[in-house]
Amino acid sequence: MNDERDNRMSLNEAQLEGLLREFFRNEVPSELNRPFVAPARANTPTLTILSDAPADTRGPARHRRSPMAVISALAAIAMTAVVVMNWDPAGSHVPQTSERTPVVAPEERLMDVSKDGGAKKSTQVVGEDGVTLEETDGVDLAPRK
Amino acid sequence: MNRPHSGQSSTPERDAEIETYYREHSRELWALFYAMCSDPERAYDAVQEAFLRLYDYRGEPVRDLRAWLLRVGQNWLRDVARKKSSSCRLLPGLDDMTGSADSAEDRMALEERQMQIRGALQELNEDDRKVLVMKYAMDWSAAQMATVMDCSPAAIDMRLSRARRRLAEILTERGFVYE
Repeated sequence: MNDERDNRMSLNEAQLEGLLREFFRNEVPSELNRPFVAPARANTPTLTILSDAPADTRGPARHRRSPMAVISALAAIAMTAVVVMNWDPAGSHVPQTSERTPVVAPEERLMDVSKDGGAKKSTQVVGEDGVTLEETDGVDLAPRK
Repeated sequence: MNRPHSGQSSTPERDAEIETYYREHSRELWALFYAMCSDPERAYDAVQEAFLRLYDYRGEPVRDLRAWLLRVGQNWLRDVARKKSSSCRLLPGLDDMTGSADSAEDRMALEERQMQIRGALQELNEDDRKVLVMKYAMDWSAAQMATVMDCSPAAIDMRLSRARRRLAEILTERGFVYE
């Protein structure tokens, strides 16, 4: 105990000097010996230009537009308009060559007919009871009261 | 040290000027920041932060570059201190140790001693820490320190003597064993 106490008290001026020198030698980061490396901004000259440019750059930018850029923009708008006009989102567009052929809906299927078109003379007997078409014309189909 | 510095231009000359200034003054700035925070890594980060801000600076020309860098680094240290407790310090990695100790055991013992002295330094006031750092990390004379501390060399000697005595007392109180 006494030895330890004596050991503690033996920290004299010279020892403290040595202790502090060694302490700071270990404390100073080795990175400090490396040179300061400029960030990657050094390779981007655009930042320099921006820093010197006026705050509002929209005005000059408009004047710098080339005629080719304007023409290209107008052509793009025209092409877009053409595409939109021809656009058929439902997919029902039929090419012009097939537009003249009648389109038959499934529910409107035609009846099969005979060669003579199924037309019969009004005096010809129709049905099994010998009634002619002419006679059937006279039949009153109104319901009896 | 107090050369005028234009913040407007961004030229290779300006970059070279900053790099030269860093080479000449980064250790001094580190020492002063270290005296403020007692954390070697954080003091180093403050140096880097100050120089990076100088690099990006585009304002009015800086007349006193050293004072400007000190203020920037000091503000950064204050911001960091506000965000996290200064007592929460990560132990450095084994590769970060710059001592001559070879084995992991020796390195641990070295770091233990570093921590003890660091803790004792934290108990000193900032001016006492500053003179100790300038004396033992920068190896400055009393005259050089007097310029920075804005006092006479005699006052520096007195302050240095008092700081050493106080540090020895703290180390003794903490049971530090000199080997």
